[in-house]
Amino acid sequence: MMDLEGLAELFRSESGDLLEVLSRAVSRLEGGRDAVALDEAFRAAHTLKGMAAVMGYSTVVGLAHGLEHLLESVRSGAVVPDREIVEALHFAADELSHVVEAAATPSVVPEAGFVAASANDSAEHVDAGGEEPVGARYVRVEQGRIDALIAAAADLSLARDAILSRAAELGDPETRQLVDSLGRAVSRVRDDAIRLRLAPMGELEDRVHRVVREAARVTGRRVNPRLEGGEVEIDRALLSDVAEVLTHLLRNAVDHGVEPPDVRVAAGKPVEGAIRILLSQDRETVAIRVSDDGRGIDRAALVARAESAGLRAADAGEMGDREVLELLTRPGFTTAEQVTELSGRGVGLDHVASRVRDLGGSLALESVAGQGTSFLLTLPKTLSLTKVLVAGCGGWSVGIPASMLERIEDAEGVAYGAGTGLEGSASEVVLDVDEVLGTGMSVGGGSRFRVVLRMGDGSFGIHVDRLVGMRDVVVKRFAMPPECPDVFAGAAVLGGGEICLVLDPTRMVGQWTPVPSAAGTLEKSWNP
Amino acid sequence: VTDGTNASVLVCDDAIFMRKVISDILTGAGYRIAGHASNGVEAVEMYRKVKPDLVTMDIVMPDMGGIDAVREIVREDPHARILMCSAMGQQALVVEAVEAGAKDFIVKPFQPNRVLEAVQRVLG
Repeated sequence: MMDLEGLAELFRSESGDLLEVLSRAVSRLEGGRDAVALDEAFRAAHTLKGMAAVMGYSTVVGLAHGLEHLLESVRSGAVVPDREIVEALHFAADELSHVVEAAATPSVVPEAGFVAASANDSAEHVDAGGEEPVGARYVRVEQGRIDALIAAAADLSLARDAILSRAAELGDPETRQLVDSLGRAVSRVRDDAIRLRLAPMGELEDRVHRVVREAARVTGRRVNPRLEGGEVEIDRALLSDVAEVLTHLLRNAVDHGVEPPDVRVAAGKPVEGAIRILLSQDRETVAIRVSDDGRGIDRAALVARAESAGLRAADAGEMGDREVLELLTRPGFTTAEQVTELSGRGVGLDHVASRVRDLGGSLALESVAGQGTSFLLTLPKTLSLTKVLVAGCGGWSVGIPASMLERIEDAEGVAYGAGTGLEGSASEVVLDVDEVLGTGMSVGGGSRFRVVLRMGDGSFGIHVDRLVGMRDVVVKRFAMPPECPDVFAGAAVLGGGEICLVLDPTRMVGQWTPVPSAAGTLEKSWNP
Repeated sequence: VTDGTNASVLVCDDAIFMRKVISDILTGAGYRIAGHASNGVEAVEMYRKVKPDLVTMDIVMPDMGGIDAVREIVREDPHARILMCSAMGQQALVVEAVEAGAKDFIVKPFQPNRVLEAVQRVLG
């Protein structure tokens, strides 16, 4: 018997690949007739048509057939691929992905065709299983298996940390050496396991173009999007979340950033607005900058709106980018004068901000009136393991995300990293976990070290009284009692079985009014 | 349902999906899948390597299309038994493929019994 579910799943994943090939190839036709791109587009449409026919998705078959026909006409020279034709091809490719999505949604029952017919097939046939071509360069692996491998590697890392500290206590140099090399091997296994899930973010390029194209069409803007750094990799499990967040930011940039063509011309700007998506990475994080060259955020209008909504806001003149972002991401707040078809439906920036936070990332904003707006998104590369600086606060161990770490200072100066003091719009807190949790056992926070974090356009200092070291941990979310400020991303188990509370510093800034006078100077009592 | 033939088949198609559909139909009827190829070049190489009793060949594939692959395979083995898999509206190409040496053709979407009939014809 035919494995219908498996087939439908295969159709979903392979049709997605084909649609991307198609869309990318059509984009390449913009530069004129490109025989290779034409072939690729044609093949993708053709293959998709055949697959859809087997599944009985007649709408997909019809549209793919039409697209194939148009591409064939271009290939034969009967039709010249001018701007209009390329746009029609784009439109057809977009439509095709919509109908494929609709057809391949699991709730849809195949209308007719082979799959429907084979559902009545006799049950004596044996499923061939997932035999894959000999000599292929890629292996399709079920996500769950990779996750299991990563989880095992994470356990291994924890065991390594425990053995390492044990070996340090023993002080036997030979054992230490052995454990060191074991530790390095474990790190390699873990890194390789995690890399299995990395995917190039360039896979989002088609979506970026599609979203911007549609948004521009609906709002009557002219926009040219450009994505740079497509080779930057991120956890495949994060890719769809990134796509969702990016979709919102792009629509926002088209709708609220880029001006209508006549306004742009009057302002002496190129008629076509530029939206740039710049991707970059370091070892632990991926940065996504979405910039437009539009009108920028009107701070006066923002403040007026906040006040009419009964919200407390700073003076427009004193408003830094961070305050603007804070206001924009308050639930339900929006700057749109009217609800447009585009940004009015769905979710607001508050949703984007909370989504980014859930993913363990941060969001920052830069906006200059008349010149444009940039949103800067920083996300961890992988969801599975987070590198944290483990520090002691009173009787507690806390984890501070290493991705945000700028430097550590003690009373004598900088102990790690470079630079001094806090920069930009800075604030700091003396961390007292007992006070946060309301245990009633607070003895006041210690201030032997200041951990300086990079956050958006400024820095944030957290005072702690003990440093343990860097650890890779699996962060598990937990629910805080409602009366406590929710400043934790979750908790993690350290090598020795000890629990470590992992901070989410971005929430500390939002939820916690720091006391500037309490910080600033570090205690002189620290002896190395 | 015919079975017990245990004839070996090389399945050539650029879509994994299609390879699975065809393979499932054939294994269900007792055929053995000797290998898969995702383009014409691979098809020719795999043919040399596994010497299958039968080849199912898609027409539109990257690198080397199905028809060129048929020419190449038949040039090396005039007795090769190749069944073309075409989509609707490819009559001209099917004729070309048969001239190149393909024995028969089936049209997508595949009905299992049609596929098996065609396979038996070609092997017969």
